[in-house]
Amino acid sequence: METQEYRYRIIYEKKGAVRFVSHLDLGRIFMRALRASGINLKFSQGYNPHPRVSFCPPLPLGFEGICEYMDFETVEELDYVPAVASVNNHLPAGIRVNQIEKVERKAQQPLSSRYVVKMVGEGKFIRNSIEIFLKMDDCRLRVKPGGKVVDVRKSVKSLSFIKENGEILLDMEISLSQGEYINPRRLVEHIFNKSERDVLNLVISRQEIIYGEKNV
Amino acid sequence: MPTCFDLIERSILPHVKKPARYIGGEINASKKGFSPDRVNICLAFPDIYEIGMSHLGLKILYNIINDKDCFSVERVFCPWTDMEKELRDNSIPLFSLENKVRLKDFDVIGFSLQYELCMSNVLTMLDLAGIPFKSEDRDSEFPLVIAGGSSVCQPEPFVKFFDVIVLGDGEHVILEFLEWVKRERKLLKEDKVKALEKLASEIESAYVPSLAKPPRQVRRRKLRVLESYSCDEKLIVPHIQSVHNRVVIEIMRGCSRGCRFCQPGMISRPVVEKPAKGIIAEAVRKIEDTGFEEVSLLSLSAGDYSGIKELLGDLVSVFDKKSISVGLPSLRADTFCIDLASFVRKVRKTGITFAPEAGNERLRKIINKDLTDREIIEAAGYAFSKGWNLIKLYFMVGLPRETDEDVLSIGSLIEKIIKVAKQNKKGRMSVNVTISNFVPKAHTPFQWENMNSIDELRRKHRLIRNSVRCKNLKISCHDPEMSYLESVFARGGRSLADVILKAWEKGARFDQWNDIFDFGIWKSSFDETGIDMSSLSCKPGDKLPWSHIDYGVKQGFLITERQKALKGEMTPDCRISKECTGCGACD
Repeated sequence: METQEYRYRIIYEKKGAVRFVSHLDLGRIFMRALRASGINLKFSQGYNPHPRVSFCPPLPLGFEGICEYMDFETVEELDYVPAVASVNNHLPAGIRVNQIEKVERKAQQPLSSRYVVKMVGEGKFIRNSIEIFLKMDDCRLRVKPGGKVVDVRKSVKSLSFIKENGEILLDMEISLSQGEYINPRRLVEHIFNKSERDVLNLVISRQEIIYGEKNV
Repeated sequence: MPTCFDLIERSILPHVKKPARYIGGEINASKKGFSPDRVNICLAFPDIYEIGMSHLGLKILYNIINDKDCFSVERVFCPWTDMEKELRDNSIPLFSLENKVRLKDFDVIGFSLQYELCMSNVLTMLDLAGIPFKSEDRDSEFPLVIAGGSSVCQPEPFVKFFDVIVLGDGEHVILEFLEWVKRERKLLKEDKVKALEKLASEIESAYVPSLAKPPRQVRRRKLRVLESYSCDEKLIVPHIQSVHNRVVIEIMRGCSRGCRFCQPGMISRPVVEKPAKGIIAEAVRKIEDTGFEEVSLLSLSAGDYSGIKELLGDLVSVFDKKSISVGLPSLRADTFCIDLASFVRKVRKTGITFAPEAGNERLRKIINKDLTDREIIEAAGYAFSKGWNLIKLYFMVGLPRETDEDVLSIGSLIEKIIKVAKQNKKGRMSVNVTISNFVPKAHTPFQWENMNSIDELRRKHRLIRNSVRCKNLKISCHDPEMSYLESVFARGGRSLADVILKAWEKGARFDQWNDIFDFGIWKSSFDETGIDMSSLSCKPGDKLPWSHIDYGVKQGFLITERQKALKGEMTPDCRISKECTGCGACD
């Protein structure tokens, strides 16, 4: 028997000090907030039932995100306009739901994400470094110590910068595909020849997740 | 004055492990701003955030203080070693989680002391806050540094670091104390010594160690009624997974079983129970407010709560349909309790814990643990037949009058349990055994007993490990060096303050953490201070360092209990036998 499905997507932002809450802990925070808001989540069947939820690709610890999402299923139709306010009531400062919307079962796949990095340094140097990087045919980089090597030139879909109120904002789109993903921090460290500590101090914000059909 | 949290967020938090420990802003955390018009207290827990946020006492005090408009409470935990280094390297003082205020700017810093080996962390926190360690070195410019919690029942080793020590249940006395601070602000600024003298005479259970005249008997405070607090009570929901990731509700305080080694059982008499109606309402309210998916009932011995069966029945019927589970720790090894446990855990029967403590009945009589081998084996078989596949067993070595035969009997009891497990359980099953080391504690009948040496404890651990082997069995033993140090602080006097200071200077941190604890540091600190660790034991007739600290149970009772122990005589639980044992706690 085909039962009616109720699938929703929460679109939220994560800003300020809560950017230091890990993806795993954030998941728990959302589960509690949904339950406390009285939303009846649908559970998986079986010996060890779990609520049916899924998250967007994890945000690295310390990153902000302004357009993050989480999908969940409920056992009944959700009145999602008031649900926004009531979920927000049960979230810590810095995490805010901006919208809840209905989604189809076969939602499109996340292909890439776009980030903005608040840079410190000289505009000229940054411009040169970007130009050099973009001219490369390939650029093999170890994703982390002991990790695998990735051609990060292929991972970077776009890379540019703007000056805004005296700040230099780096704008980069990075692939989320298997074997192409690179942490934007690692990339900045490499392209601009920064120290690990300096790179950790940068505030990086994920602006959007770009979806589409996967090209096979 | 707020510290520059922007700077901390930008250039310190990215470099430490689990930075969410230091950001505050959790759901239900206090939103009162910092105002000098209120009495501001910072509750300080000398361990990391995840541990401290699981501690019930902290939650209780946080709520009752914040309930009052004229007081404001914030929290601080001990920074992990990486954060300590970052704060030092950047000259940033330790700050509170709520308003990111320097600890120095509070009126009161209230430490919660839950175990003997937390003092190095207390010193780390004071040092990072720029507050001198010793009470005598702090003038009225500094906050009052006070302490409470179960460890303060024998406070002498660390009294020099505190201005006031609050004995017993803190719920009422903390409010009286803060009222007093509010009233005596002027005097506190003008003359701290005089103010503290006044405090000691006005507030019962406030122990002021620095008084010129040696302190009179100081009596602990004891709640006679255990209630659920007001409906405004809000549970802070930690950002990061804490040790107890659930709603915890205290259903009963104290235990009257009377195990002779057990300090919590002795110092929290008489037993008080929270009415069932209040428990259910509190559970529903907190689950709805926080969104947790488990509620756990806390007490030293949950099976002894009168009407526990009915209470669980009611809770399960309220929560079952909401997929919220009910947890029940600390059960006795009997079929009644296993029935309770299987009732609340219909699925996911992860593990059940029994504490036989000793390997045979002779020794169990000495420690007054009313359990026969047969009962334990039956209970284990019953638990496996009910569907559990993991049993955890707690034993102790180094008990008074213990022989090698007694130690070996732990192994044979484990063997019998494994056998009965195999008979009753098809498929995967395992037995996890934890061996802890007996530490003689103040206010117990065993306070005059000897502590085994480190080598002796190691030898006993080996005896057990060699006596029983099975692929389904895991045995872990508490670190004998850590237990030994614990025993020194459990019975030592004021001279230990200098040892603590020295050890801290040499780098002692997080001493209750196995992977960090460094006994070498402590050993050399004792050597350099000229104190012999083994000299700090007690014999009957000795003047005990804590003789002026009164936790209800009378000295005469402890002596009688000790004599009975040596004869292998038991003392029944007065709540079951309805006969007074004369311990004196109800007087």
